[in-house]
Amino acid sequence: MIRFILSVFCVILFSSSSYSQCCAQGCSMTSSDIFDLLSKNHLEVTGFYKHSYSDKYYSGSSQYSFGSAPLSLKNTSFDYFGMSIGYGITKKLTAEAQGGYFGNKTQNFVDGAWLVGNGLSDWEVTLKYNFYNSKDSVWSMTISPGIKLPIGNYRDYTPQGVKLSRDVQSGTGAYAGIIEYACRIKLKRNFYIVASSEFEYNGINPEQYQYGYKFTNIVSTKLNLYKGLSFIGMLKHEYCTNDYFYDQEILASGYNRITAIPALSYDFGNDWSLTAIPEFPLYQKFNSIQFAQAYNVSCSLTKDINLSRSKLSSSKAWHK
Amino acid sequence: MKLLYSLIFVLAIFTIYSCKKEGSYFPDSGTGNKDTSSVYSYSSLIATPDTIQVGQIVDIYANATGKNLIYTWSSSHAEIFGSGYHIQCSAEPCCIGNQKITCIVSDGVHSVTKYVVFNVSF
Repeated sequence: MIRFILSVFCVILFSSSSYSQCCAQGCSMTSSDIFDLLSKNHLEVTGFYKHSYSDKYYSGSSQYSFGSAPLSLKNTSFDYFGMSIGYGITKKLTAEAQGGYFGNKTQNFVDGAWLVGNGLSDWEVTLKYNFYNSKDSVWSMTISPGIKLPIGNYRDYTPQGVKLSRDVQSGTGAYAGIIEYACRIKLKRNFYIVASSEFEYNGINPEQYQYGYKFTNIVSTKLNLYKGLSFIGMLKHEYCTNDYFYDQEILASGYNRITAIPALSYDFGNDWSLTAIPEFPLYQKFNSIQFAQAYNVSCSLTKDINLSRSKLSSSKAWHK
Repeated sequence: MKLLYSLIFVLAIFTIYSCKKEGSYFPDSGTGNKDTSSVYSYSSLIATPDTIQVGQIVDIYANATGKNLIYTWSSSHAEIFGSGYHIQCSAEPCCIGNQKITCIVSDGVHSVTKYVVFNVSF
């Protein structure tokens, strides 16, 4: 009971103090395994692709139309090709780096105009530490501090010398700090629930733009369906505060969103895993009027490599 | 391991070839550079109208003369369409208020920066 209260307290603590990147379509992989702690000397490489599409304005939680405004948005989308590399430093500590490339970050306008940006995204580096395991293996908790490095371009120009709008730039230009708490509860043999809370603090970029703080809560579970095939059910809540530009609050930024993520994962071969992750907003409420996300679809391919095993086999080969 | 390398290679090729060329398109623009005189001069940067509603259009003209002029445009928050001496701008709901458009006109020897402000409301 004390453990349960401790877990709930931690989730609430992070929930109340944390916050996101709003207007810009920031991107990170939706992990199928939030708890994902690697064994010592294990390297996990994940390649992933994400497509996001938006086609409606929302005022608060209702749809909104600008009528015949020629340069109101018709739709926006992006394709993101990412990579995540994780390494188990010890059995309780995992380091992870994640980043990628935005392709076709596109805004299409009502009258046929469009803007397209491409480029490297910002990179995220995190350390995941497993600070608590109950003796009966029912409770397990991790804390993951991290940093976002502004590697992506936030001042990209077209070949004709015109600066692209902020929403199609591939980077933010600002450092960000992230902290995540995750708790895994084993309810039955091979049946877990994982709850996590993440807070992201975005710094101010050299153009004096500051994306809002983002706070994300996720509850997830995984059910084995057939042999290597598993269903992953996730419910994600995001709360994002307003952006600031030269210390002025951008009123049409910041939101509350609840997303359903029904994912399928298939483990095959020698430590390979293929995951398809659709994301559908169940509830969205925006400050003022904003363009709302319709859906995200991503798929990822993960390979787990046991480096101590490969060291062993290479040393065996040497001795032969 | 070979499979992993192959996968990364395929992903990289797919990424490169699936991307649209970066840029912008606006049906009514397409105005190129206007070189009217060999003497460099950059007299004004004008926005018409100077107040719009979200999704409406502002025409912005850089009045400059000279040879081989290069126009470099940027904005505080608005979207810019077109290129050359005449561009068109608009703004999303997030950009309510004053929007600053900056234009640098250069002929390779001289370079002058001017800005103009227009207002966006609901």
